[in-house]
Amino acid sequence: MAIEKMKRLKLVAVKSEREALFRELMLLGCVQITEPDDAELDTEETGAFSKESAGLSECRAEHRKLLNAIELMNGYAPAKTGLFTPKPEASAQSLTDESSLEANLALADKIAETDEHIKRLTAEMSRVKGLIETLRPWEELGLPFELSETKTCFIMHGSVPASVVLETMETELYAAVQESQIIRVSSDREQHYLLLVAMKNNKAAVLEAVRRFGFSPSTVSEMKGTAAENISNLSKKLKTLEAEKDGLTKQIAEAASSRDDLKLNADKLLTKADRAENTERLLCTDSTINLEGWVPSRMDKQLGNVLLNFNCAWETSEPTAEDTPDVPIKLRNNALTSPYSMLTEMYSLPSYNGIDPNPFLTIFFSMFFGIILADVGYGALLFFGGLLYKTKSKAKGAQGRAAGLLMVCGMTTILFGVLSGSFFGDVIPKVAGMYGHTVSIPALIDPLNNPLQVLIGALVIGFIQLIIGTAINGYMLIRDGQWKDAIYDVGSLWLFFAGIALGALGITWYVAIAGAAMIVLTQGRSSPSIGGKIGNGIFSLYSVVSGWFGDILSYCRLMALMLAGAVIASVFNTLGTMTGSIIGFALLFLIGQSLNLALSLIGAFVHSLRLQYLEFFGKFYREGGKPYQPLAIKTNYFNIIEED
Amino acid sequence: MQELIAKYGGMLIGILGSGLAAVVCCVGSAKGTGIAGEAGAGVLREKPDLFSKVLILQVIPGTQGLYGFVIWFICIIQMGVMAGTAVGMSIPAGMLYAAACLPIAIGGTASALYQGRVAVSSIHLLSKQPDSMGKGVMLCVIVEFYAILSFLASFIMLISITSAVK
Repeated sequence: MAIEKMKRLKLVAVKSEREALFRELMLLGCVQITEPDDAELDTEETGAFSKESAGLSECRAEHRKLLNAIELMNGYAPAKTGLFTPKPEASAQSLTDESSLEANLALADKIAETDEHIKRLTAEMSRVKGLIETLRPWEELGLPFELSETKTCFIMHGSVPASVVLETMETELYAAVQESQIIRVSSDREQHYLLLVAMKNNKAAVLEAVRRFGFSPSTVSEMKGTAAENISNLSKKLKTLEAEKDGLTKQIAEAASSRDDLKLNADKLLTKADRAENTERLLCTDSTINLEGWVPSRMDKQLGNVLLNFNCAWETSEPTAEDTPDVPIKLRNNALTSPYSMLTEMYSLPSYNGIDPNPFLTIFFSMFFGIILADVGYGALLFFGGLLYKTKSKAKGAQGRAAGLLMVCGMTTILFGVLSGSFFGDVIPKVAGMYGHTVSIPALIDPLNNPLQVLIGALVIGFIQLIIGTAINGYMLIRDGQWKDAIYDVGSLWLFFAGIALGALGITWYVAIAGAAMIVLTQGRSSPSIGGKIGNGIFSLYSVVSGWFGDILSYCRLMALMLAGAVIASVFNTLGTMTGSIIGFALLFLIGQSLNLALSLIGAFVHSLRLQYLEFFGKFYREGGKPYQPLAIKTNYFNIIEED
Repeated sequence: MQELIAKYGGMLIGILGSGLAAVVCCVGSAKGTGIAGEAGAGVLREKPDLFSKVLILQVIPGTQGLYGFVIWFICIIQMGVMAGTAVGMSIPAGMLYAAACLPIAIGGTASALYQGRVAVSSIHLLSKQPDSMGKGVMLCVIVEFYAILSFLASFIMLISITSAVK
């Protein structure tokens, strides 16, 4: 609910204890180590410092090796996991224990090798299959291939295109050379396979005659034995290759029993790589390491307790004003606001002197989402979908937060669905109508018949959100001691709007004029010259009026999307009732409502978010914070469980 | 002849207008999903595992066809084509219905075409950075909003004409 206060940490420790110290810090999970300036590295007094390699690239290579092995395993022996299967759990301690790493790396190597072997076998098998295919047409031929000549004759294997009429070919060949013969062995769709026999002394003339028909010699003549013999040999070879391949595949599938172990070690290596990456940031002398970083103020004591066990000296200090851009940002959330942190991070983290927008985002985003969807049926689907996912898969991290978001937004959708009397559009009155009953659902707002009411409501909600935005801006200015700026920037705006309200009610326009004058007089105050001050002031008045006009009108999208969703739902229900049967209705209802829900969901998410990012944040947000990334255990396949 | 025109003239104009809303929007959506599909197929040749994401981006420009169809449906219901009361509708009344269908016919079609182009770029973005699916969808949905506005313009006019005509 707030931006976590940070302290700057400086620590000097003995180099020999580096690994142990890092392991403890990782378990504590709260120290972010900063990269020292390279410029600092070169100055004379720090000349003794150097950076050291800690085997980061080896770590990454090993991690890749394990991931590769897991992927191969999943290919040969797919793991049965459902959408709701929870991740297995591992303790933080076990994730820093690297005793089984060697064995797992060896296993990964072996799997990669086996996979290579399987690939080679597969290639060999397809070569053999190809060979058998080329031999098939010659299967009937009893003549061994190596017999390519007799004393006076030559024999050639070859083929001509299927379009050639063999009788014509024979006639022409006889006309050219009397002592020659072609024998058809077999034919298929594309080719005739022929044996050409002729006298040796006429070879050139014979070849010339057959070439006109597209005769091309075949490669089979390089083989030994008959075609049938060759085919049976090759088929035997194919069978042994296949058996070998099956054996190897089975080997990998058997190794799949240690899949979880591989995954655990992959996560260990991920952690180790993170540690190595941070170690490489350190400045070292021959016997000490120099660590600079950030630690949350509330963790100060726990850090002290850990550091007491080591030979080291440390101090923590409050960040100065110049440090502000460098302080890492951690947003402290409760269970309700934590899903919305995702949305803030997607935009940009607040600066250290800014404010945590999550509480406001929580209220407004879920409300706008609810207004746009506004349907009891859809809301219930979202809520129970989120609940099911959360409880079944025990999802943590981003997925768990997304499930939380769905649940909160589902509840607001139900709320606004009740207000507008909508359950899957108007399914209850429509179905009742099919059976001749008239049912009407009581509703506070009726978007289909009174869209103007909804439009005005949307614009009013928008105005309230924007005013709250300016109030936050005013609060931040006063907090930072800039109360004059708060009066000039926020006070003048409020006076102006209050004046417009009074004027519109017919009481007085003077307040509005005073507000406008205040805007003109104060908004140009940063300009150096009098002319600049007035000019900028007048321009500011113009941009306040046009900017707020556009910003507030932008909230009409709430009404537009709400109405569009309701209309489409209602049309599908009407189409369903026109079929006249309950089965036809159910079918059209299912198709139409799921289509509409998918469309409206995307719209509700994007447009609710856009109103936060562009309109709301524009009024107060100070962005540009860097994320807090402490040295901690990070996992991919496992959920970490806390130990007492 | 005069009798025929008096009997069916208004209804004919109304049906032409509403039919136009449906068919022009569908043409726009077909073009939009078509170019996105072409781009998607190109990406899938290299990265077949992106199929579900590419599919989502491809169907986004398809919604305008749905909006056009819904307006057509509401229009013929309001005119009474299905109930059989549209016969004998006056020509000005038919023209009013046809005119009310124009916003979605034009706005829906144009937005489907432009949204299709955004979808193509988003698919290319996806092929370079498979994580940026959400960003691509957002860019597309921003265009979608103008189809929704056109849809509502047509819808509100159709609803309010009926009370004016009868």
